[in-house]
Amino acid sequence: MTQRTIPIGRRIGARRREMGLTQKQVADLAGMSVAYLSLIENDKRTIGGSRLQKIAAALKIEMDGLSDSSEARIAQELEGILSDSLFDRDGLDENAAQQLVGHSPVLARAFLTLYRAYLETRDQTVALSNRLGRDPVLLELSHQVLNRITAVRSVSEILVDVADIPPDRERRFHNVLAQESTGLVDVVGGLLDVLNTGSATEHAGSAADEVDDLIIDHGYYFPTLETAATRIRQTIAVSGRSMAYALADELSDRHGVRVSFDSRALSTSGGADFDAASRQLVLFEGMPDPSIRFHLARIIARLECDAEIGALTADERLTTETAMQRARGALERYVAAAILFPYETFLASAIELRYDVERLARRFGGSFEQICHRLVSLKCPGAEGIPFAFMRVDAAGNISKRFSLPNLRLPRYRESCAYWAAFEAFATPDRVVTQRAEMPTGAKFLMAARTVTRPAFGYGIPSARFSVMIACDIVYRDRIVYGDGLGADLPSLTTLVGTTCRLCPRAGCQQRAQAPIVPALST
Amino acid sequence: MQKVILVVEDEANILDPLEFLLERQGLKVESVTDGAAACRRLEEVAPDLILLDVMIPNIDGFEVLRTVRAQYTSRELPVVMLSARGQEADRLKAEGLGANDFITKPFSNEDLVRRIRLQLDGAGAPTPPRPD
Repeated sequence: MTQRTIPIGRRIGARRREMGLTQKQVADLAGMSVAYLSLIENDKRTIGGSRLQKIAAALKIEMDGLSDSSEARIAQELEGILSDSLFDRDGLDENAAQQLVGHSPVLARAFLTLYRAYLETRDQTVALSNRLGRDPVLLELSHQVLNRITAVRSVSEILVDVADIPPDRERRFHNVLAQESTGLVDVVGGLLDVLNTGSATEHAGSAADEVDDLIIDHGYYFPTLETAATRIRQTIAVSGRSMAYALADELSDRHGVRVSFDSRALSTSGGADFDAASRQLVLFEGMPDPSIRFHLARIIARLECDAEIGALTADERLTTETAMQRARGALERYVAAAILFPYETFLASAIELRYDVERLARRFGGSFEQICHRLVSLKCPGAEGIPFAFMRVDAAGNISKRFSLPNLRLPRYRESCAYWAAFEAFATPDRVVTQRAEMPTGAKFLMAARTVTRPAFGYGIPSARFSVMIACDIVYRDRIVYGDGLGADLPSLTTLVGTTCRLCPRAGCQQRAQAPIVPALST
Repeated sequence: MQKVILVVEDEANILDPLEFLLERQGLKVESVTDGAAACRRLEEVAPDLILLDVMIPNIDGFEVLRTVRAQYTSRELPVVMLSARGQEADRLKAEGLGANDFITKPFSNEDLVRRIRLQLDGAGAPTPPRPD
């Protein structure tokens, strides 16, 4: 049983008034100033030893068992804590701390312990979310912290505010406090783990990831969009004119869209602004021709394939409006590519030109990246092209586009293998780098990569550079120009690569940046 | 007539004090721990108010809200959202979907009870956003 006590200072005050003594009289008897006695009575000062004895004598009572000043200290500390803005709306008065200590010193101490744990966790959470604010695992952990604090706070308040809690309920509430304080420690541990390892496990959390999931689950091939693109292509009178004019005419004749060029910086990084209400498409002046065609085709896709795209984006994988928007954009670009590079003729050319991306780009008036993208989608049953993986990465290793193969998993975020052709390509800009790459599993791939540059729009404005890579199984080496000379299974022709450092078992790798979490494989 | 509150919260240690608090207000509390159960039991419980956590298993709180609002207006059945994610975006989303109020965790018991009472006694009128 907890002994119900009130803090010592208040007891002294109460006893003094009971005896009808003034502070001055007691202070004189105890040999201290009135001001100091006042501080003691208000529990602003702790008291023990001879001073306590003097006061006890003056008040003619036994002060035994009260010489432990911890209660007063707890009350003092609690007072400070309860002034936290966290409790602003709780309507606590200045006596709340005293009341809690009076009600149960043990509970008061537990409250302090929890509050300290809360402060520590809160600071930790703030620091972590600043640092890795978009990490889904961290968000989940922060969420857990907030939930645990919610339980602690709600239960503590009930214990403080409510006098008549049924005993079994009170026991349960004590259990909640115990559980949640232990839980907080665990969550803090989890947060620290994440902080120490630097990155969390893969987790479909962001809108970009959801769109990736949607596209990957469809195998990067959308028959309904191909059909729609074929339909659109037939309405565009291309013969004898440049594609860009034909597309612009289609936009203005059928949709009343006016296309203009502007040299001012546009609000989108892509260099194209479309205002659906005023039917104005503004393109950045000096945009390369393939990009102009692509933007025009994309707006046509938006205006003419609403039904097909809407059917695909009504998907449970897309959980937010942002994800839906992104998916719509990705599918519009898919249709644009299908309009500009019609499936059958494009596949026939790819086979004829042995998948030479640069020659395909020339023939179809597309960019290197657009052609690589389109190659990935040649998956029509019965008329398939070579299955390709695809990746776009910047020099800092950030992967902005990716499409994996079943046996060639591309990393979701960054930290891929530095030996991949995609990175080699940065050493020789604008030249295709080919590679016969062997994974730790023994699987072999052909990789071909080239840098692509978004030209600077003027002096002093930085350009953007990416490396675009396609990869296919080595079995296709004879059907693809990038396999020339790499057919023989010779160590001198083979580059040993991995996926990410953490998942790569190759011991003694010169480029290792992180310790592996898989058993080592000597090479 | 005793008013009924449907509490949708998957954390037992939060649900426990919530039930205690609301029952002390003379309210009848029915609680479920996931979104699917909330939708399933909506008709049977016929609550006067729903206290709805955002992050719950199966169907999240926003979806439950969407389902509720497809059947009842905010006057007919007030929904007070509870969220550990206090971001403005969530608050706006809840507002847009027709939530009557949005309370962030950790909350103060007094404030929570006051805001629920406000919805129950004020015939479910949406409260203006607090200036905080």
